[in-house]
Amino acid sequence: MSEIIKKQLENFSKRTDNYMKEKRLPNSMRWIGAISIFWKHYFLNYIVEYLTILIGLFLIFFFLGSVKVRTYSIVYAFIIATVWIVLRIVWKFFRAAAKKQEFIIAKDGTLRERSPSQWSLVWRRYKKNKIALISGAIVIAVTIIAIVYPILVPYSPTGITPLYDSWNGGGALSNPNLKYPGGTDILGRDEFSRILAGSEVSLTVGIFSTILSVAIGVTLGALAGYFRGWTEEIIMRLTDMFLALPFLVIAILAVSFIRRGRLVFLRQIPQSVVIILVLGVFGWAGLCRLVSANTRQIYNLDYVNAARVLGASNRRIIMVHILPNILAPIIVIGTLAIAGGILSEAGLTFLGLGSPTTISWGQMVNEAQTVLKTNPELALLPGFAIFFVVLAFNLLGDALRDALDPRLRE
Amino acid sequence: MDPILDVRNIYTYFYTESGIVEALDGVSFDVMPREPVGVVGESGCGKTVTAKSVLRILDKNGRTISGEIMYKGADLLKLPDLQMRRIRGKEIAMIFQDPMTSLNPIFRIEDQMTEVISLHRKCGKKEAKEIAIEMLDQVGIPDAEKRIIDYPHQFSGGMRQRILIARALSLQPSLLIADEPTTALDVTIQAQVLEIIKEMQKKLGLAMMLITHNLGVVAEITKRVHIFYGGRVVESGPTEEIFLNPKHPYTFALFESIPSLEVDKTKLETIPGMVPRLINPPKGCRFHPRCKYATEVCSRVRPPEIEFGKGRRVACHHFDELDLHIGKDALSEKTAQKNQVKEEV
Repeated sequence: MSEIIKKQLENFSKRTDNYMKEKRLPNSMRWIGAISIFWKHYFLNYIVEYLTILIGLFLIFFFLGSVKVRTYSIVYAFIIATVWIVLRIVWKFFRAAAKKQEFIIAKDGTLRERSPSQWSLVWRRYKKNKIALISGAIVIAVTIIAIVYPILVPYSPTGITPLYDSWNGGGALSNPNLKYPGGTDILGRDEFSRILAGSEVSLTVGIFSTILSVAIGVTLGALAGYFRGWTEEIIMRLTDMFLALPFLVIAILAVSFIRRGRLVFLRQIPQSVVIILVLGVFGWAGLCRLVSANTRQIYNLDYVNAARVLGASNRRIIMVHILPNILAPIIVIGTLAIAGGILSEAGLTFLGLGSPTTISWGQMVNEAQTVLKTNPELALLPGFAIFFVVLAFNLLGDALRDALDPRLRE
Repeated sequence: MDPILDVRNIYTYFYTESGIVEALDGVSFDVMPREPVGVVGESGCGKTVTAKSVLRILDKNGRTISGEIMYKGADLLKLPDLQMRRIRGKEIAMIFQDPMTSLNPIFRIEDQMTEVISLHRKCGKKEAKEIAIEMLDQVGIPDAEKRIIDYPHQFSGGMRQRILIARALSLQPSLLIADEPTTALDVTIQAQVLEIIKEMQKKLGLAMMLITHNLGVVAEITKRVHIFYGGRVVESGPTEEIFLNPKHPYTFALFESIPSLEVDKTKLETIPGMVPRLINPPKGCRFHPRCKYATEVCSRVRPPEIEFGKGRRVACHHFDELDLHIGKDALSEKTAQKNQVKEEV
C-alpha cells in the first residue's frame, strides 16, 4: 500500500518538476487556477457585498418606508445595490489601472520601480488640493442624487398630497416646517422633493449638451487644424458664424420653434432633449477654435512628423498622437461647459421656455415669481441649488486645470 | 547594380504668401544598396526638403511638381497613399534632427517602440516588445527591458537619439534617411551616436542617406557624397576623390573654409555673399554671385551636369578650366582632421 502511495507521490513530483521546468501548468489546470483566483479576488467579495446591501436596504425600506416606498422597496433596494456595486467595481479597476505594476521584474530577477504615468501624476496633484476634493465630492453627490432621487424624496415631487394636509403644515404656499422642510409651492407640492428631483434635468442637460458640443467641436477643430487648406477655411468660417450668433436669442427662437412651431412632429421631443440639442448645436464654436489652434501647434512638432514617417495614417495620428496631447484643455473646457449648460438651462426655463410638466430649477424660480413677497423661499431654494451646483462644477474645472497643467498655477 | 533609390530631376516648390519658393530645382542623385551616401550643403539648400520629398511628408504648402523618385523600381511620387504608408517605416526609415521633440512626451518608450512594429507586422504585443527590447539592446541602452517602461523625459538627448535609431531600424528597412542626426547633441555624444549609426549600417546592410553639414562626419562614414547648393546638386562622386580634388568652385570654397589645425590663423575663411533666397533665385548658375571664377555665361545659362571619371558629376561651366587643387598642406590637414575625428570616436 505504502509503495503505491510512494509511486504516486514520485509520479506527482515528476510531473510537477516538469511543470516547474517548463514553468507552465497544463492548460486545464491553468484555467481552473485562473478562474478560482479571479473568482476569489473579485466576484465572491462583491456578490456577498451586493446581497448584504440588497437585503439590508430591502428590510429598511420595508419596515421604515412610507406605503409607496414599501410597495416598491425591493425595486429601490435592487437599484441602489446595483449602482453601488457597479461603482465599486469601476473604482476597483480604476485603482488597479492606476497601481498597475508599480514594480516590474526584469529577466535577471531584479525589481525596478515603474515610473508613474501621466494620469497618476494628475491624480496626485489633484489629491493635494482640498477645494478640488470638496468640489469633486459635491459633483459626485449631486450626480448620485440625480440618479436615485426617486427613493430619496419624502413625497412625490409632482403629487399634491401635501395640499390636503393643511392641519399638519401642508396646504398650498405653506412656510417651511418640520414635515415639509422646503415648504409647499403654489399648487401644494412639496418644495424639498421638487428640488431633489430638479437635479436630474439640470445635470442631464448640462452633461449631455456638453458631450454633444465637445463631440462636434473637437471633431471639427481637429479636422480644421490637421488638414488645413480649404477644410480649415470652411470650418473656421462656420465657427465664426456660430460665434457671432446671439446665443440667448437663437436659443429662445429654436426652443419656441420646436415647441410651438409648424412642424408638429417636433413637439413630441421631450423638453430636456430640446434644450440639450439647442445648447449642444450652438455651443461648440469656442471649443472648436481652441482645438484647432492646439492641433496646429502640435502638428508642427517633430513627433507628428516622426509618426508619419513610421507609416501611421492620418486618423491614427489625430487620435493617438494629437488628441491625447490636447486632452487637458478639452477636459477643463468641458467641465466648465457643464456649468454653463446648467445655467443656460435654468435661464431658458426661467424665461418660460420650459414645459410645466418637467421639474426644473429655473422653472421653479419662474413659478415662484408671483408669490415672491409671501414665500421668498420658493425662489431662493432652487436659486441656491443652481448656484451651488454651478459653483461646484466651476471649482472642479479650475481644480482640474491646476492638476492637468501645473505650469498654469504659477 | 541598380540603385535602391534613384531621384531623377525632381522639382519641389513651396507656395507661400510672399511667392513661390523653388526649394528643389531639378535634383537628381542615387543611393546604391548597402551604401552610405552623404548629402552635404549649407542651411536652406534643400537637404531636408529632399528627404521629405522622398518620403512625401512635405508641409501642407509644399509639392513635388515633377520628376521621378524610383525606389526598388516603383515611382514613389505615383504610389497611392496606402502603399506609401506601407513603405514609410518598413522600407524607408528616417531619423530626425532633434531627438528632444521626436518622441511623444505622453507615451512610454514601450508604446512608441511597439507602435511601428504593430503598424507593419501582424504580431502580438509580447513579440513586438521583445523585438523592441532587442533593438534597444543593440543600440546600447543599458537595462533595456527595465528602461522600456520609462517616459521620454527620463532619457538624455543621446539616449533619445539611440531610441529613435532603434525605432527606425526595428523593422529592418532597406534605406535609412538620417537628417542631421548629431546636430542637436553635444560633441562627445555625437561621436558615440555616429559610431552606432555606422555600426548598425554595416550590421544590417542598410543603404543610408546621411544629411549633414559636418564634413568630418561625411569623411568618416560615407562612401559617396552629393553636394547641394541652392536647391541643386552641384557635385557628386566618391567621397575621397571629392575631398582630394573638388571640381566645383563651391565645393572648393567649402573645404577652404574648414579651420585648419596646423596653420595658425585668427580669421576663418568664408565664402563671400549670402545663401541665395530661393523665392527669386539667381539665374543661370545659382552660385555665380558668390563665385570667384564666374563669367558672363554663368549668369545666363544653367550649367549642365557633366559626368566624368569614376562616377563623378559636376554642374559647372568651367570645371575643366579651373585648377582647384587643394594644396599639399591642406591635404595633410584633412588627414589630420580625419584622424582627430577617429580619435574622438
